[in-house]
Amino acid sequence: MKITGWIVGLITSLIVVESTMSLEYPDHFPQPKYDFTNNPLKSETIELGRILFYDPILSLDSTISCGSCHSPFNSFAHTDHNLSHGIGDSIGIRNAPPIYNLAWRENFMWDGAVNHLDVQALAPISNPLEMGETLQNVIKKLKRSDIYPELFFQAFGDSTITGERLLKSVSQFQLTLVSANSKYDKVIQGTESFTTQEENGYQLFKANCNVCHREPLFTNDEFMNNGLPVDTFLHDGGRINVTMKPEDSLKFKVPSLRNLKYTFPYMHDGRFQTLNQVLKHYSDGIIVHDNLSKELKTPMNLSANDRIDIISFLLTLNDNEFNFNPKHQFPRNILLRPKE
Amino acid sequence: MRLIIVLLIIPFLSWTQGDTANISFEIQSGEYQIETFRFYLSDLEFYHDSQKVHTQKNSYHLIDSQSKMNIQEIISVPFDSISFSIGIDSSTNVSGVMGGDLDPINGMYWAWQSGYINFKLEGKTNKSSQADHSFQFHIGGYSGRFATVQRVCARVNMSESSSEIVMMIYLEKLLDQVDWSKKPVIMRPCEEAVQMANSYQKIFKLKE
Repeated sequence: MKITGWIVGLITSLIVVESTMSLEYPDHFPQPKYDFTNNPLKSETIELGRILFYDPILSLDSTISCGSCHSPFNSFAHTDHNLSHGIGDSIGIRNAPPIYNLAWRENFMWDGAVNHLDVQALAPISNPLEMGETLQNVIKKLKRSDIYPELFFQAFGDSTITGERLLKSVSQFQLTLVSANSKYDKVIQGTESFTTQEENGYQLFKANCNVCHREPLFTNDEFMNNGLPVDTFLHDGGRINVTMKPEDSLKFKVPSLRNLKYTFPYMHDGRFQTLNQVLKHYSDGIIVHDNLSKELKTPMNLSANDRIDIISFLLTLNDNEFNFNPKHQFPRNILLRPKE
Repeated sequence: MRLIIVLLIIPFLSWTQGDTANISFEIQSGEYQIETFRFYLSDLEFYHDSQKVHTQKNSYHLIDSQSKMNIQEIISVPFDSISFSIGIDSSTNVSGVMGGDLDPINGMYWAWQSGYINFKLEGKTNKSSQADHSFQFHIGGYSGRFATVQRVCARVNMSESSSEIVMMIYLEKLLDQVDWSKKPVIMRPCEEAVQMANSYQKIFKLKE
């Protein structure tokens, strides 16, 4: 009787395959902030999210997908675009940030207008300058499609398509975009060493940049005024648009510094094409606004060599494995399937 | 017992589900046509002798003048007052996406800035300065000085046989208080939204 029970138990456990997963990340990363209990990672849901991410069906005229401005070969940034263009070549007012390590964020968008990853996708979907759609209409299109009812069935156990399910799937795919395997990470883990120049740059970085661009995520996820001259064309006040507090004028979220090789141009409006320009700004270009970040009040006095060394360190944050990971790429077998 | 809380909009003198779309009415302050009237009613609680005796689970209801104007609850203890929120509490506003009545597909969630639209009132009136005489009041905001969630309390007198409570919504009072000299469009957390939300206490009243 005991052996029979054991065999039944074994067979049952083999049939009921648990396809939920947990996020993988290295020991030197802190705990994620995203609450997975309401959206546990599951491979079918991640796959659905990946397909939705690259499907222009989310846009009004089916020309723009998330991948249009968040390119997988470029750390999910809109490389070489200072401001992104949406449907009908509309130009927005902000630079599309790269997508990685979002499980460690609590604020989304340059001004923190979005307070949870699960509701972020609503913003580009509904923005007339981006995808120009409504969530209601997207759901209607998905219900009529030949692939999505089945994909939702695989992810959720039934083929009901709701706003909640769409958004949670897109979140799941994005959560798996973890960039943690750059040369810097390997140095921290003890499997590689910096060159002398990189090490010098790292020391300068820790002395001048680390308070806001805090390791290992290279951001403190806060909103700061970093002394950029006001763009008199865009008039973008940043965080003040969300909080309506005067002290938040010109504050923007501190971005991570990983994968800078791919994510140029830099800053919330993509005004700097090169890291050299960025470093020059921090070295001697800071405008002393009233609410300038207190970390930047003392001039940095970086020599040309200092700036080169810092850039040399910053390049150790590029993660080629992340950038070319086939799991993140465009699902050509699904989205380029022959139409009947 | 299965309690039904029925919501009645005043000045719609009689109400049948579905026929309040594009209802026009004339009251002392002017002529109005309501095209959309939806709000969240949440966190329903029941009290007896000032003690809480029952809390509704998953208490999030999207009330819609065109399709949903009542709430049901099974309750087996006596009660003499109820309370509920107009709007969604702040912690739900920061918890990401939810389903059912809270699903953003219902059109009661802001896409450009996270947060629920607690109360949405749209229509037309000859008093509006807009070219098409329309007004749109989307009352949202969950934090700090722009929070617009309001708690409404009411005493009830439940006899042994009654299983229905009628809650009147005096829309005419809300519309009377609007400053029509300003642009009648509210679509973000702001002072005007807070002022309108403060009027809920006067407009939600139990039928005697």
